[in-house]
Parts: sequence; structure tokens; C-alpha cells
Amino acid sequence: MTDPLLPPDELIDGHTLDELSDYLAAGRQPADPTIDDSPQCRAALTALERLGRATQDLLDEEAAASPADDDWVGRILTGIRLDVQSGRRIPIAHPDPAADLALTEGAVRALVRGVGDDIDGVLVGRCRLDGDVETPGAPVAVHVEISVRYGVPMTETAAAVRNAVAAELARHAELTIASVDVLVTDVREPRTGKDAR
Amino acid sequence: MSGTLATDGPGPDAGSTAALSALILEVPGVATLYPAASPVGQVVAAIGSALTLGDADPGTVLVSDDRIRVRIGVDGVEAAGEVCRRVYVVVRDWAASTGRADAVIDVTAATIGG
Repeated sequence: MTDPLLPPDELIDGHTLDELSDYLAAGRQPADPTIDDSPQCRAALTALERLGRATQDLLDEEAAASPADDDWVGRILTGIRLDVQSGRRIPIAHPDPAADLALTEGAVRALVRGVGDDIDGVLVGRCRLDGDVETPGAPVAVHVEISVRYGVPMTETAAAVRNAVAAELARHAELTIASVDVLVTDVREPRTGKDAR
Repeated sequence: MSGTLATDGPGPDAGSTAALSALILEVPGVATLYPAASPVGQVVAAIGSALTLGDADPGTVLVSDDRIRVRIGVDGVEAAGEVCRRVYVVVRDWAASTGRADAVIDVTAATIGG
């Protein structure tokens, strides 16, 4: 499958996004352990499923969507590709020097994406952690780009995303969050699968 | 990083890496266990298992003399950091019981929820 909306190929733990999309379309059969056992690939599959639900109507009914629509799909796919990279190690404190505990940056970005996508009318595009996440106590700024469904109040929605992301990061990642910035980059027409619910 | 991969077959004894994997999966908050080796390492382990007529197990926990590496997915319900610390305790106890008390224990959460 070659999708003209996709950015140029990059490998996700040895697989292209096209391969993962095909694997998903085939119902994950036959099982491929190089995909099923890879956290990066699993995160990509989860994100692709989420995106597929949100864009099902758009893809089915308007294959020739307007360039403006293509832009936000492309941005989201680019964000997925960036998010599934493991990235830096975010340390977890432990008094034993023999304990080397961490979260991957990719896991944290995927967490942020999931939190944002769970909010009504929101799809998360890019997510970025700015700062030295590998040094405990260093200030980290979180930047999240979202698209919102037309008619959703932007200010309240952005605030909801900001609050939810901050709460989940406080619970899971031992980071010093200096700020959570949410930028609305697109407004979608209210006709996609997620929006129709 | 040099090391040996977990390639135990079925019916592991308590000191085997397969037993360690089972213990980790019982830790509250652990959703899954990912292979800790690089993709190349997994292939090498699978080939090694095949050549010795064992199961083609790519291994999950990576154990060397001075380091034990574990890569997990956490369920997102329990705090990820706390889950990693619980896993560390399990691995530390296993390491002590198998003569690896001085090993560095590397626990990485690669996915949270989802």
C-alpha cells in the first residue's frame, strides 16, 4: 500500500508504516512476532487504529478530500511516526545505585497522545518534550499540537487537554514539568468516525 | 553489550530466566514483557535455539554477568514509576538467588497503557 498522504518512509523498529497499516488491515494475521513483540510497532498500531476510527468516514466517502483535510491527516501521521520512536530514557528515581529504571520518551509521548485523544473532539498531532529529560529535576516543557472538531470551544478544550496531560505526566513520569503548551493547529469538519460518536 | 539471552524452554526451574519472566508478569501493573535484546540479538538467540533443537524463543529478559535488562509495558492504571520499582525488587531478589547480586538491574517501561 502506498498512500500519497504519508510522509516519506522511515523504519519503525524495522517496519515501514505501510507494512504496519497492512498488518492491521489483515487483522494482525498471520501473527508477526517482530511486530507484536515490538513496543514501537504496537504503539504505532494503536495510533493507527485510533486514527482509522477517526477518519473512517472521511476515507470512505471523500477519498478526494480537500487539501486542507489532507494537511491534518498528514500532520497526525507524521506525529505518530515521531512518537513511536523510543527516544531518550527518562529516569525513575531509586536509592539503589544498581537500579537503572526508566521510561522511554516514546512511551511518554504516546501517553500524552492517548490522553488528548480521549477528550471529545480532539485528535493529537505532534507532541514534543523540550528540556533535558534525562536529568532528574531539569525543567521540561511539553508542547502538544491538536486538531479539534468544528464547533468545539477551543479555549476550554485546550485547557482540558492541558490539565489532563499534566495530571497523567505527574502520575507516570518523574519529570519536572515547567509548562504544558497546547496549540490548536486544525479545525475538522464534524463528520469523521470519532466526531460522529 | 555482551550477554546471554533468555532461551529457556518449557518447564523452567526457579533460577531460569523463563521463571524470572513469569515472575515479572505477575507484578501488579505489568501488562506485557517485551524482548529486551536488540532485534539482531533476538534473531541470534532464535537461531541458537533452533540449532540446539530447542524452541525458537527469541528471549525476553537479557542477562549477562553484570547486568540484567528488562523491558516492560505497564497497564496505565498503576503509576509507571512505581511498577518499575516493583519489577526491580522482583529482579533483584531473583539475581541474588542466582549468584548475580552485584548486577545492575535495568528496567525500562516502553509503553504505558494502550
